[in-house]
Amino acid sequence: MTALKLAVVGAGPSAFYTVSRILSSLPAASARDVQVHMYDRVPAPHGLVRYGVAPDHPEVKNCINKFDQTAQDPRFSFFGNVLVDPTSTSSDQYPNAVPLPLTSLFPHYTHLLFAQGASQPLLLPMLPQAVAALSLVHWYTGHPAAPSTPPIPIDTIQHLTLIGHGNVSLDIARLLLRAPASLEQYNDLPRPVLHHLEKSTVKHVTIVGRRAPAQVSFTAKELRELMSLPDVSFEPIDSALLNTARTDDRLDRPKKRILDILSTGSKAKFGSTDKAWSLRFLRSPLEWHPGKKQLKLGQNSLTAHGQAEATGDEELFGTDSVVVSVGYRSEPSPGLKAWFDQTTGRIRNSNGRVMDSFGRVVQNVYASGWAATGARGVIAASMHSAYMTADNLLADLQAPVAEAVLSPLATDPLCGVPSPLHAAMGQVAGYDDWRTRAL
Amino acid sequence: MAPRRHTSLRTVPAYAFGPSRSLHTSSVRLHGPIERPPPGTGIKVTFQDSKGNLIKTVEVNEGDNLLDIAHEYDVDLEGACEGSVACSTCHVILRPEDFDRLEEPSDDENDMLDMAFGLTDTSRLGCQVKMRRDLDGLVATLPSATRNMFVDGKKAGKH
Repeated sequence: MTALKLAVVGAGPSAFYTVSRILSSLPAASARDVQVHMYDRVPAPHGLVRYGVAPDHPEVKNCINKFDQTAQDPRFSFFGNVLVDPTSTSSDQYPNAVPLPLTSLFPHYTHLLFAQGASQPLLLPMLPQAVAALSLVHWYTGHPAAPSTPPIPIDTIQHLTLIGHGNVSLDIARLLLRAPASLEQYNDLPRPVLHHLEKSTVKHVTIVGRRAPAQVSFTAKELRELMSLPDVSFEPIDSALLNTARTDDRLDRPKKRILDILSTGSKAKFGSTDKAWSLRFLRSPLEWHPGKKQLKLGQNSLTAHGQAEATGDEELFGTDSVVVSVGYRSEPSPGLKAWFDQTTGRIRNSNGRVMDSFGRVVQNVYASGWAATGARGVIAASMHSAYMTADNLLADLQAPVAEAVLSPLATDPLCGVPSPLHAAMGQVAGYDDWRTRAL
Repeated sequence: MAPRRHTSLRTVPAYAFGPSRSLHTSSVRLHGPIERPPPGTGIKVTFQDSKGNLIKTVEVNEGDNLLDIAHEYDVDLEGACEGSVACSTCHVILRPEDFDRLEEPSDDENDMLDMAFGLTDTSRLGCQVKMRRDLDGLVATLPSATRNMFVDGKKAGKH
């Protein structure tokens, strides 16, 4: 039985839900017995709730109230603007953050939690000139690493193509298509972003996916929202494609409801509005030349297992700009090497317990959220992952996992924070600093 | 961007360990925004776990919703979006007879239920179930707490 001094990498929902579960489960433990230090490479806490959730979805951000409660706990400290386990890429991206090697944490903590999410967008090698959707998301959420101007010239282009049938594509389409006046009510939308959106010339967004209507990753809420915009219409989907999708007897209720929404289409009749959007199915991008404004698409068919298979047929598709949104993986920083699975792009784990490359649990090292499960699911999914990890950490405090690999962390940890931070404390941001001044 | 000085640094308590300590595990919760009726006068609501074990039976007022009720009475039901139908964390499973007495869930509620773990034909969001006199005796089952067991490289096993 040992006391707990936990370092947390990342300050998004999975970090906060794990920590809130741990602290609320140990109400009697004092700050002498239990301490949590949460690190994030940006100055402000809350991760994707702040820099991922669309600014016109403020109700999704209500979970911050719970995070604020956790942050009030005297056993909790937040250290923003600290880049744990830097890479050359992340050091370039966060030049103002204090670099902190992962190994420097080990003597100061008994436990380590990886909750840094999945920040690296998957790219398509055949589209080197396409823009990553993440840069647009960073732009419209006011992320500190984002440029001040939109990463695609929305004030000159008419037609935008998004690659990937997920919620990020729907968020981008919605923000570009809905009337800018309807966005004014959202305080989380940076005003410079709103001013750029007011000058947007985008009239049509096409979202391309390699598979069919029953294989989409976006969710009903985001789809219904886009279908309900008063002055935006949806190009009807070929009914044969929808009928084929419906014949799949493995469809669950969520998929059936999505097919119903797709079939009903938009409230506004296609062609009756100034702005519109379309979904294209069974297409994979092959080539994109911005100068020619032409995207080459390869046609696919669907295998019996629901996978895309190229038919060999190709087509040219006219568009002004191409943005790729096909998923994310965690960043394989050097300190993670023994625990990172290059194939899946996440930290190897068993129900939140980090494992080495031989599949052995590493004592006192944990992961939760997208860093552990891969980048799928909404905040509720990260919450469940976080609670599972927290419950396992708490169980391991009572009875450690048998046959676990010895922890690299301390059993009798040093006081305070790792020494590289001492000289740089002026650069480190506290939990509430973002409220009191622009960071 | 010029991050501000970390004001609380000097107040971070010095970390010190005593001899091996035992950490007591239990849970504390904050209470919700509703009031409890005088005993014996309220509408009865029963919460049970996924295995059908009684958690507790409580008395509530007309109009109270199951999420607020759970929070008032320390029942472990999350409400990440605080009742704004933007998440699925207050998912509960009702008995068919209770489910049928309620109005149909809205499209918005169904959209969120679609993302709930362990969705059933009688699932509802707790925040959308408002209590009425004729629902006296309603039973709300919390979905299973063990979800998507997740192990890399092999099937879920015991530790």
